[in-house]
Amino acid sequence: MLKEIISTSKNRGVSTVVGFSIILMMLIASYTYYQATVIPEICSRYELNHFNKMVGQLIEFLSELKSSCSTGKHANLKIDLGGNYPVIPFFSTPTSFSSTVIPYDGEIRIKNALALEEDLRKVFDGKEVVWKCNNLKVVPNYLFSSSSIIIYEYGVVGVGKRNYIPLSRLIEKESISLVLINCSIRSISNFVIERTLKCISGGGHVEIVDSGSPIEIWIKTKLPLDFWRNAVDRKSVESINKSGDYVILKLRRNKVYSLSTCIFDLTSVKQTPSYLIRISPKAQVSPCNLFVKVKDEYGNPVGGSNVRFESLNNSCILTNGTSSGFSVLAKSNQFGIAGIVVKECNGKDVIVSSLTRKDGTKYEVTFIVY
Amino acid sequence: MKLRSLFTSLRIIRLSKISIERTFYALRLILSKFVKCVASRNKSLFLKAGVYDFENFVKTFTLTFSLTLVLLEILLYFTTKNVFILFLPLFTPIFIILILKATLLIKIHERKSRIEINMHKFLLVMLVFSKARLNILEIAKNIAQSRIDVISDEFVRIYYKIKYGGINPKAALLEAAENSPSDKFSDILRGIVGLLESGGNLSRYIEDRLKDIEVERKVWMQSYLEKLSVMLDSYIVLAIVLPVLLFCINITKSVSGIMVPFEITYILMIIVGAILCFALYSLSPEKTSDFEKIKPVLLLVFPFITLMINFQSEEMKRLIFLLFVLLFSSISSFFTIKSFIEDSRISRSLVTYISKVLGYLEAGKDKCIALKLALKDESKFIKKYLESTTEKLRMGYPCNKVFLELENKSKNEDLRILARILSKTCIIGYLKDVLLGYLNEMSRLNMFRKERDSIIRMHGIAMIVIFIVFIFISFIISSKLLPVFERMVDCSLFSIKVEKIKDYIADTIIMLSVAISTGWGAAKGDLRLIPPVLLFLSIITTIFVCKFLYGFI
Repeated sequence: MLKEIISTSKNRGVSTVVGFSIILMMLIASYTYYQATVIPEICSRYELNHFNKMVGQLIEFLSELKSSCSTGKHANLKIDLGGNYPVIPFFSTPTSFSSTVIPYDGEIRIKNALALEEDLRKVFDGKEVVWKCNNLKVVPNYLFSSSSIIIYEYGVVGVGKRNYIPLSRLIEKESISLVLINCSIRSISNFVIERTLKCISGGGHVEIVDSGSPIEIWIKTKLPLDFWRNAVDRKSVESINKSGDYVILKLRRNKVYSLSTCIFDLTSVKQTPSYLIRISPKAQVSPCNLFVKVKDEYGNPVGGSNVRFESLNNSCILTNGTSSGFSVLAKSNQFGIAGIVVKECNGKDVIVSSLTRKDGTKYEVTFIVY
Repeated sequence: MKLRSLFTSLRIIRLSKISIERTFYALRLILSKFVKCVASRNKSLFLKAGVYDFENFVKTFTLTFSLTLVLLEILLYFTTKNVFILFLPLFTPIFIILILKATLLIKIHERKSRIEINMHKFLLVMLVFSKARLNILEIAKNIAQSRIDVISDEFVRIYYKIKYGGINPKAALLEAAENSPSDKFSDILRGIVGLLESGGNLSRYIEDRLKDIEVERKVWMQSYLEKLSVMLDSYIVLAIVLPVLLFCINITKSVSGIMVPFEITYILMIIVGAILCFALYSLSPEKTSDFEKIKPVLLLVFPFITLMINFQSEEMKRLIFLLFVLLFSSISSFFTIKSFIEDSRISRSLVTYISKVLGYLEAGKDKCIALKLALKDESKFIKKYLESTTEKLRMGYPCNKVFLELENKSKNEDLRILARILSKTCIIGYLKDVLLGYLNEMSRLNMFRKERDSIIRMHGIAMIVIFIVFIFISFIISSKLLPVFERMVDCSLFSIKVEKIKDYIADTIIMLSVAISTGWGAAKGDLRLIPPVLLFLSIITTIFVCKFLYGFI
């Protein structure tokens, strides 16, 4: 049969139409091959450029968040979520691509941490502190590349698909830096998403030590364990383990860690005061100044809070500059410091500075004035 | 009061009964008038089409088609709700006349081609009878018994008209010439009448006509080959390349989110494919008319039944269909390939065999010895039939019975025709003339077949190349573009499910393999070729669909 075919094909060529059909088929095959392999490559290059741009924008956002933390300014989140595919003559390309910003719950638990400052030991009492926040996930909806995603968690940006690379660190030497977002940012579009986040708590830090057992930071995360291994300073962290949704960072013992926490929200509602810290010495001789620092639950100073100073035995006359008496109100400044002057005292007296918390309870700090 | 109302209702019933009867009577009257009118106006057409009881034919035709048309119109009305459709029954008579005329023209064309295909055999037999100086009644009787398709039927009528109708032979022949759809056949009949009137040499006349026919057939075969080439070119372009092109454009365009329904491609493929296949098959001068031979091909209908059954998933449906195609095309190939090979071998060796017989006859050998000696180095296929024949001839059996037996035994059309001609002519003699005439025809046919097979083979190879290229295209689409479609569906940029596209790809490949195998068989005029080609293509299709498309393997 094959012999016959070969012998006849020697004598007879294919007709013009058949030849044209075969050439046409080859052209179709080449066209489809180009459309199926080269066009996706070109388009995926566009997607890669866009992804890099998004990563850059998120890193910029993170640095803005961190600088806002100390300056108290606003941080702008600006991510270009979409883009257009190129128009290639004779070939088909989709018009545009988009990305999705998905918020998800975050939770951070700090265990066995004891505040160095005595007044803050009511918060960091060696037991457990639980803070809740929102994390962000930016998922590009690319058509031609199996794209990586960008994750923002607790002030750390991770990029990847299965193995994520940290673009910042959570623990550097003995400094633990947490940048938490309290609001929920959600979007799916091919436009630019722009949000202004306001720092509602920040600018302070708490120094903590272990309470006998090593400090444990439980991070509720969607990032893998390897990511966190690279996102912390291994000199400060003894071990990193995973338990369910949480990654547990066990810090080395006998070290003082500086924990700075910043909270951002879309609204500018400041954190409510929670604690007072004595700045001036506890026992003084009148006339003297009494200063306290108003702090919120994260250990950051709270400005504009009313602190009442009261002479317990009514033997000291107190003044805030405008009024005098046995009991005066003082307003904390932007650094959270509130203070009064004890003009004169008739013998030993206990001055109680107090603030009213959100839940109506009072937090008091006392001074002894002679 | 009650009695009065009862009477009124009875009267209404009676009146309505009368009116129904009258309506039926009127309808019957209209129908009979219509039938008579149509039959009388198209008498010559009916006769040329071979319809002799034309009034009955028109009546049956009218009733069947009017009922079908009315049903179609009702169906169309309920589907489209278009009021204008209700007026369509008024045009029913026009439709019927048009369809009737078209049917008659098709029948005439078919009869004409059948007469012209068998013309050479007729003249060959006629030559022997005329050389034997038989009278026209005897010739008519012998040709009527020769089973030369439609020509024998014509001669049956001529014979009966002369023998029992009391009609003059010339008048009978002239009437047959008048009513014949073939001008060539009419000319021959008129020529015979002229010879009968002038007393000329009939065998000389037939010899001349035979030569004319041989030249005509040569030209006709050449023109058929050209036509076949053009038809196959059109088939490849319209039924194979164009749907593939549309499919590829559609799939690649889908990347931008636009999706043209694939059904358009399929409809185009089915309609164009069916029309061209029908045209190719009907134009073919050698169609497999033996139903016994093509019976196994009908097995291929069974896989298509599975398409009507609902399976758990579309993937499963296609898989079952493909497995059924594989199974039934293998069974069908098993039965058809044997007879196909045997047929082609016998046809090929028949030429050398006849020329050898003629050589021995020229050398003065007896016909039995010549037939036996020529068989010596022939293939086993021809020996299978001719060995016993030559042996029986040698033993002195009546040659007409021996050749009749050979005709009944043989499955090869060429051998059967030879045996048929010989069974009628061997008693009269002139074996050399018959064999020489038949050898000429067979040589011509063999040349024609070789040329035709070469054209078909080249086109077939082109079709298979196209099929393989399409498999490559489908592979690229399924491996590279389907993930893109999946993401497009996830991003709501694409409304069609990816599974649906997979089904489309599978369907297109299946349809392409069916189109190629059917086209090949139709071009050759031999439906037995369909199963092996389909088997080969469906193996590739099944592997591709199961492994690369659905991932079953």
